[in-house]
Amino acid sequence: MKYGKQLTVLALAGLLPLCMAAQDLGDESQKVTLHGSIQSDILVPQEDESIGTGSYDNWALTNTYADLYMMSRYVDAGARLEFTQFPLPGFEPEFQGWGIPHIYIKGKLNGAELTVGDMYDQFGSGFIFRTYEERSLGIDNALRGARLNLTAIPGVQWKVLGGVQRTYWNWNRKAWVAGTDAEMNIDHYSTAMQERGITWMVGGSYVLKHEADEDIIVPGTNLRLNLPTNIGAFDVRSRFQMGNYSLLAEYAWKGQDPSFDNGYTYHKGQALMLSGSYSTRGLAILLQAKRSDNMAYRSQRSREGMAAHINHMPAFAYQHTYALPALYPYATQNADGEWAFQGEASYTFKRKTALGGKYGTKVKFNMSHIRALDKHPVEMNHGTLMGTDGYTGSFFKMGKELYYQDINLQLEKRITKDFKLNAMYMNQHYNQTVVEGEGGMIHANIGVLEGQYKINSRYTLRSELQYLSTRQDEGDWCYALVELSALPYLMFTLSDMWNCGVTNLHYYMGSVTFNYEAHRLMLSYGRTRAGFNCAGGVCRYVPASRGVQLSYNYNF
Amino acid sequence: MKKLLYLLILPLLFSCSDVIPEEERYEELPAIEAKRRILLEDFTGQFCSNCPEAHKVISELQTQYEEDVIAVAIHAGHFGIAEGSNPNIIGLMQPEGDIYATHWGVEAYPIGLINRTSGLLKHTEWAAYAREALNQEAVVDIALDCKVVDDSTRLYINTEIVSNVPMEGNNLQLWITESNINTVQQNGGTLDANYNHHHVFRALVNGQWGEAVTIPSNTVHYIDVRDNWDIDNLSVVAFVYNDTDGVLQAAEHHFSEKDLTLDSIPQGNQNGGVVEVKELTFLCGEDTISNGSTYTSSKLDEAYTAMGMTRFVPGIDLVGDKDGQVTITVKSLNQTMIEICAFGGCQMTLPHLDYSTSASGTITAGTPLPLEIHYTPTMSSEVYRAEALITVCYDGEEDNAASFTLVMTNEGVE
Repeated sequence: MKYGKQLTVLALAGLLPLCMAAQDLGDESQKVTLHGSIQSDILVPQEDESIGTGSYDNWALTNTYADLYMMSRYVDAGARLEFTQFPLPGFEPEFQGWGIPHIYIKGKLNGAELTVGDMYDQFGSGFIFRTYEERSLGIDNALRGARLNLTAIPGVQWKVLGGVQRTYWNWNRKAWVAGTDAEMNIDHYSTAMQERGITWMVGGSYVLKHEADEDIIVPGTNLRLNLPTNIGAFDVRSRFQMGNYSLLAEYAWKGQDPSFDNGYTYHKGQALMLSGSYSTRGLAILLQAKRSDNMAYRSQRSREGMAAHINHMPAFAYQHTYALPALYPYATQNADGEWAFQGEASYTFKRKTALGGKYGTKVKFNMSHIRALDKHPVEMNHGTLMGTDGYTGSFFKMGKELYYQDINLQLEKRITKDFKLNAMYMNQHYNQTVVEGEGGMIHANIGVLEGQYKINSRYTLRSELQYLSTRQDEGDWCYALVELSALPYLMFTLSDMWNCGVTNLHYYMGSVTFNYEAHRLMLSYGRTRAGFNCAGGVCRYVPASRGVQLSYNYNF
Repeated sequence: MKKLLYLLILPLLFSCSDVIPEEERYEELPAIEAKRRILLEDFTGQFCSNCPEAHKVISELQTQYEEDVIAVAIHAGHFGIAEGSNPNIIGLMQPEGDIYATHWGVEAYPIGLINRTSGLLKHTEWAAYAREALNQEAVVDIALDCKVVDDSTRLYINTEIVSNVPMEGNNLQLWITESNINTVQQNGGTLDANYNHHHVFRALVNGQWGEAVTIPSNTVHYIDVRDNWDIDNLSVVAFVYNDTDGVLQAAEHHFSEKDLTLDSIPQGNQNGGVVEVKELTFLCGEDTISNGSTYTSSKLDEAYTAMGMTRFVPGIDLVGDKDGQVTITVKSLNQTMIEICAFGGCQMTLPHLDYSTSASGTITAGTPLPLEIHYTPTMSSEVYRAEALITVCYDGEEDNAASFTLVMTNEGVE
């Protein structure tokens, strides 16, 4: 807390003269703009034994964030206040706290940018470096240090950064991370390519993590593991685009990184991704394949849970927004590794054709298939794999275990001027044992029907009906939602997720949303289902909740 | 272009990722001579897929350090199966386990606590911490003398604490643990129906947080053996601790046949160094029923007999030395349904409640309270027999319980 407050004072002290200086010049280009946002979610929880809520110590819980950014010609600065002293349920214990954990100042001059403070960045697809914020999961792995961005050389973007990583309210100084990334647009140097409309990017990055040594002893022996303190990773990528076609290839490698995630084995990490797409008017096709192996890369080797990740492996399963398709969401197996395939094709039938109808019809087909790698464990040393290479396996072979499969077909059709219909069918295989720790393979068939009817220029009615059919876990689920938008300010929503299969519990929710210019206020009451939050081999149970929730958003 | 080349070479300067060949991965540290015993509390659950890994670590540590590493598996949380919650699965979770888990802030499983000074540690950190902890000097020692008494229905635990430093502010905690229980455990990807569980926390002996230590100290406790316990696999775990320094010393006694000696078994109703319950007494008519004894009655309800039915009404009264709230527990020892009507209501020892029931209420000093214990056999037979363990104590004084075995039978009666 002391640390945060000192930084705030320093930053504000630094900002003031800059603001003054900028305004003094009286030049249009010296304008200083301020942006910001306020986001606050408040829950007044109620105990509900039937759905298994815990008991609460506080009468109200809140996650509140306030951001302020200043931008000018030569200097940018920003700070964020977080108040999570009484956090909403479902976050890790260390998430609790409050202060100003994010603050930075950026100087810009002649194609060079120097940032000092907390920063978010990503190298390529994030295979070896991605610092970001995801408030709903309580993730913020920002790096606190310095970054230099150079765009002076035409066709090249180069950055170098380094610092200590944030883990909730701690900046562990026993570990630091440094990295560099360069991307070059080859088409910049070739007029022939430019004439043909070809773009070709080649990039590479390198990250080095240093962490102080620690004692990890093989249980039952007096052997202490000789742990590497410097662990590097590199990434190379290329994106080629010509006309309607685009191809991305990316490869990453990580050195020996024995950690809690991989059982303190010394196997190196690798990731390979190939992604191709074709898009033209009315048709888009995407095909992707990815193999990742032992790519959990943290700034603290013995850490588990959501924090201290240096990289982020992109999700290869379709991220559903409808409630029941998102009931069993897949979590990427970073440490274990996986083979993942995804294919998507969308086509728009033109208007006034047989299949298109009066207004046209859009059809989208998506499939993802994720399975285990081919792994054969090596011989144990002293009854454990700690200190060994862990496993061997052929690169292109796949393991037998299916982790996740999702085949879905979506249809969007405007029936009349006022009525639009969306329909989706999905077939899902979800390996609950791999993702959550137990439960076996869940095989579900899901149907979704959504209709949107414009009553008049002010009122629009939207309704959803969903059904999930499965023989495993809690059986079948039914979902219904009704939403009335009363432009320009109000929206009313009523929904119920009913476990018609086993428990017969209703997870109802009613809300009123009020929008006025940049303000958004939502008041809701209802029940939220319990679930498991699993990361890196440790599972946390997130209890169900019920109560009144108030959410406020303001952007300026 | 030259500038470009420089930029590309720079990253190579960063290439200092450690590469440790296989033969250099282990460093042999000197062996530790244990100077004390340590307590390892393993928070675990039957549906927790990674928990067997933690069990394996304990097994390795106990092979290495033997009696000096005392482990207790406390089943708790949402991965646990509560005892008696499922008719088809033996559940190992006790409500006291959840109280401990909540107190220490346990949220993720598996997780452990060593000597209550380590903070919550992952199982991969136990070996290193145990090494340090075992190397600490002990300032106190615990000696346990345990016996199986009263026809294998009770355990007698005599704890002696020896120390050369003042023991004020420390508590002694006694637990019963059981090993070799075969039941369900999620083990990685498979659900093992017959997993061998060890050192499972089964019951408290002297309260959730123990009781204050007094020196010179020689405390005696009794605890009833529950029906689902196997005496040969039971252990008593004792430890002395305080909130600042954690667990100062721990001790464990594994019950064996040696503890079933016939001579000088300290019976529950003998004097001489034994805690005797003076405050609560059972009566039957004019007779006083001795604490810990067996009382047989064949008294029948004449109204029922007249109708051709059998109902045993032994007529047990309870009298106490002082006013207070008492709890009377009736536990059938031969799976019979026995009724107790006291304090304005009737309760029965039902099968799904493990043939156990209780009644609570206030008694007045010196006034006998009729307990109205009845047995009405439901199936016709020549010989009827119901055996029950009747226990009573003032609320809050569970250590000071009075009990006896009641036998209602018509055996040997014309």
